[in-house]
Amino acid sequence: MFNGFERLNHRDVRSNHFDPRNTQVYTSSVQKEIEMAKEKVMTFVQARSKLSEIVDRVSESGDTYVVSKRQKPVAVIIGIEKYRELSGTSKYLKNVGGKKIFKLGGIGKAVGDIDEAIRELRKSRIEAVAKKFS
Amino acid sequence: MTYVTDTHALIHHVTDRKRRLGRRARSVFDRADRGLDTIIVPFTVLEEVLLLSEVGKVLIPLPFREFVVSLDKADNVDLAVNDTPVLLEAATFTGIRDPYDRMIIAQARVAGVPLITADEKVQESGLVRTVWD
Repeated sequence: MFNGFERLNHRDVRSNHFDPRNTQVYTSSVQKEIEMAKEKVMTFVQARSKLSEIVDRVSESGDTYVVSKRQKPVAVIIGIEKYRELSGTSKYLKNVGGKKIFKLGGIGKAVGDIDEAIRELRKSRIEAVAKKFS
Repeated sequence: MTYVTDTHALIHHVTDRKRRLGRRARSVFDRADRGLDTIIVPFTVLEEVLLLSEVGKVLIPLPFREFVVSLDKADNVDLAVNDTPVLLEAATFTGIRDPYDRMIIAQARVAGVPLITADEKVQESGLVRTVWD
């Protein structure tokens, strides 16, 4: 559990301005922490001492940690999935002749009869609409 | 060349059920995977992939959000939205009763490219050029 982490609101991050009036000391349980803000700010010293826990949190719960130095946010620690979303550097995208190629063949698995599953899906959706208006 | 894909065609390719794909459909997807062709994925198709993955019929090895973001970034795939031109195009024909097929066909008609589908009703409708066997 993290104690004493200050929370920075989104407006502060966008403006790259750390305003102590908009922070609050965070001392609650892990669950409450998850339910509340997903973005937290901490000093470089705090981040270094809690790095292992922070890495677990960003990878497991999608939290974002802003690291501050001299009361200014200077770096962000985010999970690899969120990073790939933001940067477009998915491991499934390969550079082929200067193009980003997503090789789709065989990346997934099907369970059962897909044609039948699609028929059932469409039938259920159409019936749901018909029922709503009948 | 560019093609629009139907839901079953895309899923058979993604899940490596190549024997369920027609010869030409398989060839188009293989070429797209090498960056030689482009696959347009209609919104309706992507929505069905989402719903089928949520009920465990289709298993993809990455979160759906990352899957879509990656598709969106890829040069060999175009994600198409259900916008006004597609809806108006779908309104021009009533021979296909399945509303989802109508939107997918309309997408191919608006894009002016063939549709990859095994659906015989669609193939025989004459509403759109199709690719399969």
